[in-house]
Amino acid sequence: MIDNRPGPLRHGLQTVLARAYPRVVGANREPSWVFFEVTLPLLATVALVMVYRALEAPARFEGYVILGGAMTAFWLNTIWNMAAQFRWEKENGNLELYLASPAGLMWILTGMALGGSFSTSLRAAAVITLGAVVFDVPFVWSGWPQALLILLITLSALYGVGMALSSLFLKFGRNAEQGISSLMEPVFLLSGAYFPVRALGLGAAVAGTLIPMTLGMDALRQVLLSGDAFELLAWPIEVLLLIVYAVVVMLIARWALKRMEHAAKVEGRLTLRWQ
Amino acid sequence: MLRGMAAAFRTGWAIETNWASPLVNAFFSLLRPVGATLILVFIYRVAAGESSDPVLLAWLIVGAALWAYVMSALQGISFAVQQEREWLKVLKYVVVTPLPFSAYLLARSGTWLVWGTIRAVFVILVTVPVLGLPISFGAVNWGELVGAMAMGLVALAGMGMGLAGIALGVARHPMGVGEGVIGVLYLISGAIFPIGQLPGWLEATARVIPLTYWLEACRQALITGYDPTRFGVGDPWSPLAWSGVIWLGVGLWAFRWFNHRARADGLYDRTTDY
Repeated sequence: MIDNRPGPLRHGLQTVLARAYPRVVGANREPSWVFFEVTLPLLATVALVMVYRALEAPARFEGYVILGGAMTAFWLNTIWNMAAQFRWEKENGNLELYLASPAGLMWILTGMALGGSFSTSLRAAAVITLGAVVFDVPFVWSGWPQALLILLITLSALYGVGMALSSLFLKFGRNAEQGISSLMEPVFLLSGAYFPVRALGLGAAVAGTLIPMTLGMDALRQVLLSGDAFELLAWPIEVLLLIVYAVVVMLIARWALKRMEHAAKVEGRLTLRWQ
Repeated sequence: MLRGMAAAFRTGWAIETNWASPLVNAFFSLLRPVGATLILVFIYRVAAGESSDPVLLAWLIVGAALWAYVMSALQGISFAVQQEREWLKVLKYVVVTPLPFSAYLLARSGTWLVWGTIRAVFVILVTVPVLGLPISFGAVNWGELVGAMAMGLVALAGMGMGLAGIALGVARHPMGVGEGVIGVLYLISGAIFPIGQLPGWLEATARVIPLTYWLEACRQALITGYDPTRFGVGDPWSPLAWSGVIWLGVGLWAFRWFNHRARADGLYDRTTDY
């Protein structure tokens, strides 16, 4: 008898596509997201650029805000379109369907992340365009190939963090949502989203590298902005560290998801709403 | 009516805080405003370099601290509508109670006043000694501060009610509307940079918003050695009064209009899964 079932890799990729599809196609059916997800978040970025201008800082500091605004979009995608998603799926009654299906949780999360990346990438591109065209930030355009490499590796690490955090949301539900929501600005602070992370002091800057966005942004500033980038480490070293980080955090995520899924089943939290 | 409003306030407080103990609640509640303030502090330090302008830093910090009220009010009041309708699905029962719906909403989301105060006071209490800000509690003009806060918070409540009305009426993105309005106000109300930095048409818009004058009046009352002519707002009192009254009226009228429309179109129990 011929077994026509797809192999594990093909099955996983089909899962990714299946989960990404509603995010991409659904977004196009409701175009209002362009305003709410792309245009409105620009306002905070513009405000911080104006702060630097009010302080008469050199133009490259505006580049920090622009790159930070672009990268924080991916962080928010990681948290709200990925990590918190399982809790919302639980509220909607879809989580038990996911778990009863043969689709692996990590493939589902990857699909969520890739689908959410569609609108997030547009948002990041809008921020960069705003910076280049409206604020005339002096980007070093020859650095874009390295920047894309840095971005892809940073996103791999970020999405690994999202997968690991999704297990927390699965286990702790509402508490995790409140906690993570409260940590938005502290994460932006520790990762140096809008200023050189070295300004925090060496100890805090090193602690900030636990957030993959920190090393990613530091590397992006080195390749895309001219002048003293106040770098923490040379960008090739930061890229290597990010690769190691991505591998480690994916392994942690795989272990954590299995553990937390089992714990949630034992404690009866999988179908419990508003917890 | 007061008993009903007290019950609504207790409901809102419980919904917002029952996920953890009071201490844990307070800790996580303070993280965001403290983080946002510290971001501004480091931006200032990086941009200013060796030069020091404590009045400018105090101006930044006071704006960031008071912004906690704006976030809490505009998000809290409109978010209550979404919570009651979409998630808890009790809105249709609330509107048939004897308590007027507007009074219920104001009381239900009254936690914004409490949390806004806790956050603003905490940020200022911590930053004044740590950063050496020129804010001396013996030199604060308390009469002006209380007057400015009263007028500003009334205007904020009116704006919040207007947003709650919009949340009743829109099919999608009710939270996005609130966040969008907050983002626009953050940009044009002089919260973290002087309105003189804005293009002319935006600066003119900033001058009809009560928050611009509210922040300026509070800064004048709080900061020792503050030069009222430095940041380009001018005398804030009569603009705060008239703009506050106008925005309160507009907000309440908008809520009334959207509430009427929600009743007519059967929107009280609409769910959109947003």
